[in-house]
Amino acid sequence: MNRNILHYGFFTILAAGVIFQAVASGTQQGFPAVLLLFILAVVLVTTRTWPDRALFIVCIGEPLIVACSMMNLWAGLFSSCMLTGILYGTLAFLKSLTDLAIAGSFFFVFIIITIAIQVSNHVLLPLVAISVVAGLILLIQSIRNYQFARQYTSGATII
Amino acid sequence: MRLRRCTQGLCLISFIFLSCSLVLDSMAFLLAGSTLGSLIIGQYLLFDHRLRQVVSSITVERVPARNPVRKGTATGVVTRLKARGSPRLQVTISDCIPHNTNLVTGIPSVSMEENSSSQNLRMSYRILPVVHGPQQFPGLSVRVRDTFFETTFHLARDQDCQPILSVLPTGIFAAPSSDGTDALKDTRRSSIWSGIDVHSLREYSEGDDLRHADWKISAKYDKIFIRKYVAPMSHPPLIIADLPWSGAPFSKKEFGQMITEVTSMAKQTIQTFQYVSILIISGPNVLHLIREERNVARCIGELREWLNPQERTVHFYRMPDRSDIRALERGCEFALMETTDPQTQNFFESLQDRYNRILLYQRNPAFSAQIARTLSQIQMSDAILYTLGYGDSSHVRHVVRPLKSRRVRVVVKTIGSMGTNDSPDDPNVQSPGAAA
Repeated sequence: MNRNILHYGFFTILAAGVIFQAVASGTQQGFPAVLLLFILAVVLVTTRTWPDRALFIVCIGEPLIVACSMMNLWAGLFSSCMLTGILYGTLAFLKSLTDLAIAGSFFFVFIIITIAIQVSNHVLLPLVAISVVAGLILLIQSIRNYQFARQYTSGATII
Repeated sequence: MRLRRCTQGLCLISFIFLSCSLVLDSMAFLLAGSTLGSLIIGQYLLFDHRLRQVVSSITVERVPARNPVRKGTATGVVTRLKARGSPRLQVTISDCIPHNTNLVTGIPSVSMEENSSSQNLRMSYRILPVVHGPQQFPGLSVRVRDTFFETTFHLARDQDCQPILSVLPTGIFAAPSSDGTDALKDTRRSSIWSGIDVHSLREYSEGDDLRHADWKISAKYDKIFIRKYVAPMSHPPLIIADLPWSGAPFSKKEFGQMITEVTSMAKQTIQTFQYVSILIISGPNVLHLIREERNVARCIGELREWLNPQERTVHFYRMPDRSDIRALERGCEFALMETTDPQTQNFFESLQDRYNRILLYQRNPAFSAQIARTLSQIQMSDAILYTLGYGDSSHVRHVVRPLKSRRVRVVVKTIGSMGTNDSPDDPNVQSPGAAA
């Protein structure tokens, strides 16, 4: 699959969704999202040959997610998923069914996070929950890494 | 594991958004920051999973061109790897060369293709061992990187560290040092007896025999000078220890006896002559030379270190000396001159032709040159060669001949089950093992 077609496809869906949401909300909160969408389009075009293109896309995409989330949290989730699609398309990470499954699992995690945020009244609780989960994952990984290194390097550790 | 620059930027963005969400109590910032954070963690898990797949699939087969190898001699190493790659994962596998070796040529590193197929890789390089003794390969270094992360993994399983490179010590083949120390050294010995040469002059002191006064010098300096004369100098015997090959059976009892004899001879020589030189060989391999050692403890320590069964890189099997072949050829010539029988003549002609061919194609072995160079550093009037006499003993003749050409009296002591056999000037000693 052509990389450009793929991420421009995701961008088209994102643009359609954001514009629709901005129009549907009928408030001024939609303007920053549309403006950021325009900047994202410019970044996508201008950084085609730049190294670390993903970083630039994320730099401009994250404010777009914030802008969409301010309109509606589910719009934020939608923009997160599409931005991930753009990112994966840019990095050529969507080449096989396995890659699609991986992207799908990320979308599923995003949905879980969104639901957790949706049901909370304040940031603290979901932030703590997300941090604890992330910390647990890293802790388990470090133990697994130690065991793996011990098995393969006779006690040395991964550098 | 290290984060690449791009990932460091993404982590920073995620951290900023999460911090903003906490400060502003904004769910929008939390969603943006947490989705990005989960994306990074997810990518890390994927990277780790692929890394494990790649690392666990690596099998290595390392083949040195020579093992054992002599210290200071470059040897080639071919490492064959079999590994399964992973998409979007740049894998570079490097072979870690032993610590006490230098890389001479070649690149001990290979990159894998970014696909999930099983790949056969090959590295070829040459290393130069600089320290003798067993040298183990430390293993493999696997450098893995993707878009977000990179890491270097050191593989040191038993199979990754095989084989152990056996580095043998270098023989003392160098010619005498040209620093002038030998030239300046006074090898003469003073004597109370008047001889043919004057050793030195000194001022007269009470009790000196005036018959030894040098009147010419005394008149010149207006003092009485006494001559000290040179005594005939005798050098300590060179002790040669021929160690058994570690790859063949030998009698430990006899070897122990040989060590005892060599050690006691070395002690006795130091006590008598103030120093001793010991050449240690193992078959046609020169291993070590203890040159003019004056300290008994140091000498014994060195002997304890070296007097062990040794690995041999070179083996002789009935290797005749060129001089012997020439002598045999001359014998054939004389026989041809004396005989008139055509059949006998034919026999000697074919024999002579055979000797000629051997002389034409068989060059002097390197061992002979090494022995000649090593012996040229030592002054001696006697040499004692201790050997167990196991296996082929043709190298003994290659040791004895240069000594005899220097008019050194050689005693070959074969320590066998029949008892110590002293064979002065007779290198053709056959031990019971060799005879068998």
